[in-house]
Amino acid sequence: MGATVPSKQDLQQRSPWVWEVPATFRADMRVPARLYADEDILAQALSDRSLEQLVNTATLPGIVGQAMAMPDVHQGYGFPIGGVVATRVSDGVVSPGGVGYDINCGVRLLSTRLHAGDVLPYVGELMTALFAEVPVGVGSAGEVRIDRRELRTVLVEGAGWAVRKGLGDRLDLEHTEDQGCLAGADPSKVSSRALERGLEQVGTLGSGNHFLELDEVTAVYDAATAETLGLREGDLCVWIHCGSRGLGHQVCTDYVRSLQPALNKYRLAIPDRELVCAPVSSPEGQDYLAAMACAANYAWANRQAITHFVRRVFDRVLGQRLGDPELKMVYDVCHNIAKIETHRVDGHPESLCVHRKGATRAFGPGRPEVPADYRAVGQPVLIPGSMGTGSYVLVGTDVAMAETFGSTCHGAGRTMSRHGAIQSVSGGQLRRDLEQRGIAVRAQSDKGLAEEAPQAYKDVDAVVNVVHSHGMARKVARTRPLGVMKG
Amino acid sequence: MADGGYRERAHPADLCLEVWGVDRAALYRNAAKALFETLDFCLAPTAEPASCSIALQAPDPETLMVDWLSELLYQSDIQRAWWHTFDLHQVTPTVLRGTVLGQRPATPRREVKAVTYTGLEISQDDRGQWSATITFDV
Repeated sequence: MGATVPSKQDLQQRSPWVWEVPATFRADMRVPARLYADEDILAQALSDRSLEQLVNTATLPGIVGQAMAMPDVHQGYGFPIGGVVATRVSDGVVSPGGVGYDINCGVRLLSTRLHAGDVLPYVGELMTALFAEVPVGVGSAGEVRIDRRELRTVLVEGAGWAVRKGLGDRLDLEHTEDQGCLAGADPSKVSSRALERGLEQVGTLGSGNHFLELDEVTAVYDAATAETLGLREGDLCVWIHCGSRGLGHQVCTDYVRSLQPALNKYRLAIPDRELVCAPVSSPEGQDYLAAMACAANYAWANRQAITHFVRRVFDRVLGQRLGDPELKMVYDVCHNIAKIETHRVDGHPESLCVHRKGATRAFGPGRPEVPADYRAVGQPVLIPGSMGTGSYVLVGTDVAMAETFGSTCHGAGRTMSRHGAIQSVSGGQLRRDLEQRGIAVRAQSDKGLAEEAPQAYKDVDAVVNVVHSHGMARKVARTRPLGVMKG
Repeated sequence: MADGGYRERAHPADLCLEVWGVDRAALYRNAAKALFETLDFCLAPTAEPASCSIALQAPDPETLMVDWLSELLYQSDIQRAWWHTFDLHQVTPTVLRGTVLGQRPATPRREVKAVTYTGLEISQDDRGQWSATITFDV
């Protein structure tokens, strides 16, 4: 038997940014495994188990095209982070591990009509108020109180539930992927344990790499598209990154466990038990998708409630001083999800289950799923960088539609373990460094801050350069942080 | 005298713990100890004793490990408890029974979302020592 872990010699360079492990590399591969990367990113990917995990995903039954990893790739569990896999609905599988435990972890961006320079004197006060208003940290409970019956409504309606409760407006929904509600959600497929964990966490940020940031738009690459999205150079904007909290974690835990017998039942061979799967059309697969949709909807309700808290703080802190902040939804994307979508395969439309694990949908112009007011320019793609560096707004393209099932990267991607970051970075020093650079920091602990140090991540400019240069997404604007809040 | 131990292994994003024990029960006990020490709990000044009975059955030792640690995470989340004592009455390749003791309310400073199967293999070496490497989503 040959090598099971690809080395650089096993890769074929297809274009300046495309590297491929041919399907002949391992007997169990059904399709090639493709990495989008520059030379540095490729070297990083070769230094951990990213490519081995990518090759593993190329073995999933019913996979079409190629297994893909975006340039923010790094080793995960089961799938690599940055992984995209599309399987046929007719005879392919769905894998809970291909979505991950934080179902519909995602990002939303709010624009303002405030000039960042005018807000600077109040950034510290804003961050302190946000830190007090938006619950952060592990197991944090929010001010949104619901009982089990209402929680089930949240799981079915998603962000729409929050808007109905006065926590947002119609535009918020129009500018959210799937209008903030994934179809097919069935709360009866969600365990009582997951429900219990979700009761108190609507409107909470959580911890880890989740954050809330105040940023300034510092560069605009396409003025017309930026204007369409409501972004202008020098303006203040707000980034929110979080997911489905304990409810989503429990849904994935439940289904990774309960699907294990499905491997024997459907005679599925996988190289890693975390890739456990079931046919999309099977009762087990359908149950998972129904539960996953519930968790996805919970995450959208969560981000919507946080949006309400942010608006409330802005009104209170800035309303009398600078007038209406006009916090408008630019867009909300999920980057841990499996979606049933139609894409062209071998020239024909095919219904596919597109797994995006640490990858963002990037639909190009003209797709009906893109909001009407953005349809001419393509779907906004939100790529947060590491803390203290910067983030990008891009739009999806026809290249993404043709090549990556309308997908692109989701962030910078880690290069250093959290343990390594804690050992090599002083959280206190990092806090002082950021403050010296004019970034107000509010974090629960210096240790948590150190885990997310910029040194622990790839250069987001390099990552975005790959997707922009290859054409699978197009740069619109870059932002830099003025205030960072971490769980 | 220690009946085993653990160490954190490098992982680019998640938490990876290598755990060992002199027997099967010690392995599962040390895995729980490793997890709950790594979570770095902050106890409330009003913290009171907490406990939980565990009875699990699984098709294989690896799944039993995932179930065991997942159960502890769930009970910790719901009870807002820090578990520090793991009294295991019965551990076989497919069954685990025991009582865990701790204190509540307590809040972890680090978050572990879930226990994964990736790379998880429970084995016994020539000297009879049991070991496992467990990857957690954080």
